[in-house]
Amino acid sequence: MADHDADKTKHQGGIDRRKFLQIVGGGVAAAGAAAALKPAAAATSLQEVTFGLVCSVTGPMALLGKKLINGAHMRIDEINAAGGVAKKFRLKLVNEDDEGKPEIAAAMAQKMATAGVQLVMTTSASTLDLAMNPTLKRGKIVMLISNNTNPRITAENEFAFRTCFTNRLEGWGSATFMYNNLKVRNLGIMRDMSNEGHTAIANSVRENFLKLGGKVGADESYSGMSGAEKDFKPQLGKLKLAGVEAVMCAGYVQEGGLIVKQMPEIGFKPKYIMGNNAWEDQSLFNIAGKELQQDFESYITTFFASDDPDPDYQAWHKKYKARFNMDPYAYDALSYDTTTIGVWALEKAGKYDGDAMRRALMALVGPKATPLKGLLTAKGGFSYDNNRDAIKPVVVDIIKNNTFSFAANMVPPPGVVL
Amino acid sequence: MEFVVQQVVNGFQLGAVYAMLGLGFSMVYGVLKLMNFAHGDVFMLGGFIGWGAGEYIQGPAPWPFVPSLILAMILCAGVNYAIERIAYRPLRTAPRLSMLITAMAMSMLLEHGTRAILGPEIRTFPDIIPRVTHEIGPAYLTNAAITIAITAIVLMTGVDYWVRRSRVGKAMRAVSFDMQASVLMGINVNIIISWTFVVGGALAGATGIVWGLAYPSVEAYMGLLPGLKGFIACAIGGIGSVRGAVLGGFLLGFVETFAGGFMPSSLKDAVAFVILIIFLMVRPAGLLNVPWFIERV
Repeated sequence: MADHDADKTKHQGGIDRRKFLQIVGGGVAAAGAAAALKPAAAATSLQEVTFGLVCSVTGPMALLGKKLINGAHMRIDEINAAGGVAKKFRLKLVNEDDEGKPEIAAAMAQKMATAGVQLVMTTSASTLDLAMNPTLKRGKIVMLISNNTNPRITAENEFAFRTCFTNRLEGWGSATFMYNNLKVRNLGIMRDMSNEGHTAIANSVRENFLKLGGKVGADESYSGMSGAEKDFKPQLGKLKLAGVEAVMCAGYVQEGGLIVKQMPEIGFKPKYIMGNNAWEDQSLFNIAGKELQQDFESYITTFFASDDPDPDYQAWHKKYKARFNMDPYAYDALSYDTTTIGVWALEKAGKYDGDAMRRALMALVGPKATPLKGLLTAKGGFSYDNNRDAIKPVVVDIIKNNTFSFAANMVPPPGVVL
Repeated sequence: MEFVVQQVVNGFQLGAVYAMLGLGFSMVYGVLKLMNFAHGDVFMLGGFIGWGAGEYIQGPAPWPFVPSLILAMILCAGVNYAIERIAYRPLRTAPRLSMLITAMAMSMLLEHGTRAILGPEIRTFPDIIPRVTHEIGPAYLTNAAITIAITAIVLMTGVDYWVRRSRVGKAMRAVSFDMQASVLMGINVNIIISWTFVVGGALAGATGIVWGLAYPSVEAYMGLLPGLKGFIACAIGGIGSVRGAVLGGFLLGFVETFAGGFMPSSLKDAVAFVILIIFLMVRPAGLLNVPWFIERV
């Protein structure tokens, strides 16, 4: 066995010796020239490492994908302009399109693994992350999740770290806001049963609302899978019959917008509409039309208020707008922060290796961890819970004048069972 | 009571759309014995034409609606004619399965072609009629529902009359009974089949517009499921029969709506299709295909 290996090494060395000398010679010459001429050129001696990003460039979640790309790009350009990571690494963002489909996401994870990428930032939806999980776990590749809330992602893959809360916590925030702040007592739920994450949010809303003492008058389902259902009036008729004061929609904007539009068509006018984080998308205003803002008081739960008055965030907001000519939402800031976390892990690990970066990140896990400072979306410092999910409050935004503005911060009390 | 009346209104709106789709399927099947899978995608093109027209045609009601409808009908009739001419006619004598596969290929070509040219994003269908809800007695009726009902009734009556009374319609029925014999009787089969596709395409285009009114979003794959539902509608009604397809469409719309309204909505589709399977078990050839009432096209 050993002989065989030695043979192989010799053989390979034989083939590549000339090439090897060329590279070494060239490298030495370049380094020498750089040292002799000007110190600025030293940047070329940095090791270029890849931060992978799998998200939607096309498909139904392309707009969200654009935000993730913008946030990551902005951070990586800043790091490179400041001289790279630990004077050792220069970052390169490699972006792959998942088209919003789990099977494509899995293929892209494979592509990244084959290319030797050690850190992948993911995607536009939880189902896609779950599809990528086996490949990334097997390849010991660190997976940083910006905005996907399914608890299973981090539960299944010990290389996954989440910058946002899970949908269990989001459901808690949604239910608590409706019960305590809006004083809703009779709640109607419309859930997208074809999506695991949305079902989990709806379940959590239901559970927590009942626990608070409220009543769930009607809990109806629809199938949001690739436009399978467009007529929600049969279900909405039942919500109307139950006389609910608020409707909580757990689903994507596409169906959510149509649901809101069809409510007045059958004379159903609940006081409040509550959406989930998937609703934070400009297209909501086109699809749902004026009804959403005129006929109802509408809210969403989200990761971070995009009109946060914090001066650091406002400065960043201005910089972002100047560069991309659009307003950032929570997703952009989360992607920016996720990149920061990746950079921190690379710096701590000192080498571009998935296993080493994972061990570095584990320092942020647990109630006793020293929080990471300087993130946009976690002013007080950032750390993970034992499941490698971020410990963060749930933000509630109100929808008015075609924007999302901050309404409330739902801070989970310590010991809340989620 | 109010709840039941409202569900009837909802069911009628959905049923009218399914009936229009089923009608187009049924006519082509009657003449060519072909499941034209591309029908749902011609319907999708109708939706996109309405979306495009609504961006450019402005004015008081019913101005943007009528030209959009006519434009969609004309263009979709042309597309459907071209599909038959290019893809189906050369295969007229080939085994039936080859034509079926060509129909699937045509469907995918239209879907992916549209997606490649216009992009994958979902677009909001413009308000080509004012969005107003009327409260009539115990029910709420939207302008869209009224427009859909009128359009569907006018077009379906028109097609029924055309099939029964016009020369081309009579020839069409003859072809559907026996193609060889109609050739011997001096009927130009190619022209009759082209006419079937032209009328079917115009119907699909019109359905795309009224669908956009009711469920205002358009995208490249929107024809897939409604197309399937149209097929089911014409299978229930008696495949190949015009009135059967209309009946089947309304039945499907009502069954779906009532299953959603009176059963747990998580079981909506399951319940709806179990009911339809029972219908087919009792009457395998469809509701209107009974020995004493044989009807074609």
